[in-house]
Amino acid sequence: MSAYHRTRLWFRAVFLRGRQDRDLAREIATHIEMEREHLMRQGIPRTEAERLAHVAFGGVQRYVEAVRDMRGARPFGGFTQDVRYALRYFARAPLVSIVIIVLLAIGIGVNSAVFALLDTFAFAPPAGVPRDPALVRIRGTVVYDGATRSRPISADEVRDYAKMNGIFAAVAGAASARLPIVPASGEGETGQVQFVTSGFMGVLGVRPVLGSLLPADDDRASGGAAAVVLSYRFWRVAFGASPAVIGQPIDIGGVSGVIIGVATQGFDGVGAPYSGWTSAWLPIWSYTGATSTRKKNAAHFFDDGVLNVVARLTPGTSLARANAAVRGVGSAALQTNQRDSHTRSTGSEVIALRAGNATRDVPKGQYSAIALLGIVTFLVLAIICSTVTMLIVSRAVMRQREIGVRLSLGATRARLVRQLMTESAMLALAGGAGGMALVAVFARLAAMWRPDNPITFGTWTIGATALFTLGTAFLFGLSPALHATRSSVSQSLKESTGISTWHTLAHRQLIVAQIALSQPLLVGVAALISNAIESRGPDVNAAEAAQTLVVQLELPGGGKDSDRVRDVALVERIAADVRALPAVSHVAITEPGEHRNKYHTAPGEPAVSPQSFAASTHSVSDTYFALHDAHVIRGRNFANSDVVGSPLAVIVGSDLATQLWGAADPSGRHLVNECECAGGTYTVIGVVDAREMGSSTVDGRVQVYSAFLQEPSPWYAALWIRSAANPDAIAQSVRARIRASAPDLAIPRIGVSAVSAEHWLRQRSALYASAAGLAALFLAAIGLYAVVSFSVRQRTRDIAVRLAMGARPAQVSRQFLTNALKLCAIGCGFGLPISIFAVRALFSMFAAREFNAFIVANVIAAAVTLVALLAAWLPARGAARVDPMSALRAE
Amino acid sequence: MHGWGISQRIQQLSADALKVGQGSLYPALYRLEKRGYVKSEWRTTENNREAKYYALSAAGRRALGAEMKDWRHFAAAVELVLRSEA
Repeated sequence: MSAYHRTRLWFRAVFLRGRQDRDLAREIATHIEMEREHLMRQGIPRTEAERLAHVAFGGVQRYVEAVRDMRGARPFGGFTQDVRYALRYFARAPLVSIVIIVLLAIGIGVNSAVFALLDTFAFAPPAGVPRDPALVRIRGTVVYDGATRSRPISADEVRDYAKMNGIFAAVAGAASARLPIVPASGEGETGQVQFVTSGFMGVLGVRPVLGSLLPADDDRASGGAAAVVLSYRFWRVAFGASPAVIGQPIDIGGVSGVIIGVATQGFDGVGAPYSGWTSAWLPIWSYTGATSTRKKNAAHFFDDGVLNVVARLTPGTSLARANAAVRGVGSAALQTNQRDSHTRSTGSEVIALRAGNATRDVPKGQYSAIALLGIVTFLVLAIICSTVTMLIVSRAVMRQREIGVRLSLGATRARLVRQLMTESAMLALAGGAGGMALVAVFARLAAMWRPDNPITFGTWTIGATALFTLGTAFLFGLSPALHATRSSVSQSLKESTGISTWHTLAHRQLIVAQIALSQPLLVGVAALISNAIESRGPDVNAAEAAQTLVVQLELPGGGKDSDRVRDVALVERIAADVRALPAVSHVAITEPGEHRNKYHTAPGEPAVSPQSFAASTHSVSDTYFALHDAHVIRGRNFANSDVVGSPLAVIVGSDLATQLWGAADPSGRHLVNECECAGGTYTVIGVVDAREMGSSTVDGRVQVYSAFLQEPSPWYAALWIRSAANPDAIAQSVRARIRASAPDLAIPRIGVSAVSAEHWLRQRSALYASAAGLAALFLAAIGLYAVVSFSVRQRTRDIAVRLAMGARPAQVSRQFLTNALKLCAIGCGFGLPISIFAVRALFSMFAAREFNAFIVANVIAAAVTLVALLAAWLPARGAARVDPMSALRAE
Repeated sequence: MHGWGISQRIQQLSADALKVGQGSLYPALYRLEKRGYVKSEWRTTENNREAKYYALSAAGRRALGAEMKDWRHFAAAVELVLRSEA
């Protein structure tokens, strides 16, 4: 028979089924009618002829069915039947079905969320910028005191990069400032604006939704007004998304501009150092004009370099080649970088442009936490898939008898496989739907967590996870379906022992894998427990820090001492005003960020270990310790006498004091700051409880606190504001109060402190790892329970015989427990090295103090074994209760 | 020839020895059609009634030849055996 003929028949059977059925009915009716007429011609009365004709034909329905079967291809006809059958089966064994669905939903939901996080931070380009491997960021680096940090890049340096025609097709930079934006019509705001070099938006491939973008050459627009491109958000907020906005005048920080376009939705520029959205983009030449009204030394800032630089590589240029090319330019920057007199060496690097590194400062901890989340999630996914597999396999094997009955009743193998596959597919779909619902919840949570830079749930991340999990369920549904139907009818109907050696083996391997994998996952739990044991661990302080709002202030600045005294007075006045707000309990003044310095003890003074050491220096006010609920346990706190010009004072952490001077009182001892930038020798005036400060383990450095009032930062100060209320809730009133006290002062940043954000993330990671660990243990327990009860059920007859022969019930259950214990031992054997590694890696991140990794890993292994044995004990106990008589009779 | 005609024909030709259950003819016809041995079409009978007519296709004719040859071999073999028994 030709392929054409077969295809035509199949097509007709599938798609013209109704017509074929009608044809057949007509044909049969004609047949019976002919027979009746034939009989009537022989003289039989009509009604009798009618009856005889039907008798001669036989059961019409039977032949119709037979013909339908003959046509084959009933893919949709039987489908509804399969679905009904599956639903009936689910209703009969709801627990297993629900567990499978929930597991699949969790697997899909959680993994999509983590992949979305990874995608947002690690791979996705900044919002509004198309994905393009040629887009890179040129980042200035500076190395001093052994630490590499990022460094802003000057306009001159950008020009140097732009000259590298062979490497970069285009180079552009952006400088950010916070300025009042006053449109001719509509509502203004003080918002973030970016001053960009020519071609900035072109380099990024950003498109306008309205009008045009900044021209490639940044010549002044008509009449000396600066061309201004609005952000989509600002356009909607201030102008109600009116298209008439093009050509309207707008004043930004004293620079008069003309609106020429609106950037694509979501685009927020590159390198924005402040929280919140960018409102507008202006050409770089207007930078000095715009900022000089607020700050006389704006030009100085500009020359120093405030630019974040993006570039487009020429086709065929690799990152490595570009990196090699920029190295020379970056190291030359040292000479031009007057402010960084303490800089040891500068350089530049070219990195792929991603949303995660588009802003200037990405907390370091974020990446390690996200990587950890990724690993944890992958492990949980692996365990979920294996548990689902085990449940599906067990279910199918348990139904051996039912399948045997159906085979004996004439069901074809294909039919049974199809039915089992329909069940798997339905479970998978229900799990998928649950997973999507979870994804929706996570997306909403993510939007609440980071409203100004939401985590995007890309379709590919959700799709990939869903496909992976559902594919697993489907594939593992296929194997037992094929296997269960392979056995002959008689074999299935006989006792079920020995049918599924493959499944038993697979089950055992999966259990071993689960036990091995759940151990490293439980390390998170162990880390949390260790923190709980350490009553004043860093997390206690992180909880406090979570209540702390940090407001960064841009000071008028100036090189002279008198300028500094004026700035300090201003900051102190603002701090007092903010302190007067009702919800605020503590306000401390600090220099934003920390310095990493090398110190050594003063020569000639006795010390336990006189060598030099690295420490984080925080420039803080006297209220800083109280804000952290910490106490100065020796000596004194900073006082009003520690001002500009008085002898330089420091307070050290208690851990450092013990390290340097043992039990002796360090008050009056001296520390020498090796950095040229600092004042040289400092007198220790007090010791603060390092544990209470909770910062000694943040990155393993000891802490030194200097007096802000003595050495105020020339350009910036930060207010730490602790309140009973949620920091976000009081941010508005704090901002208003600062505006009232000092209308001209710029507030570049307001938000939860970076330290607390990092702590928060770590805390969440530890919490998540713990939850994942417990979930993994629970899953492994379910799996073991399934395996043991499956094997008990499979061997009911053996057990019954043994009991009938006089074996004691305890012997029987012991046998099953021993088998489970063997699996545990193998699992622990594989899991122990992984979990020792995990303890080493994780405890350094989360735990309050060092633990012996080997002991911790063994304790975890013991805990896992205990839970596993409990899971095995329940069905094993059931085995001992088998009634020999009824079991043997049933067989 | 239509379905009823075929059943009548078998009955007549076999002198009523082969009485095919009339209904069972149809699964057989459909099987032959599926294999491509017969073709079918709706036509009007001499009594002016619509009926589905079946005819052997070329493949059917070939298959029939082969089947007839096999049957004759088989029948001859059985005949030989029976004759020697007698």
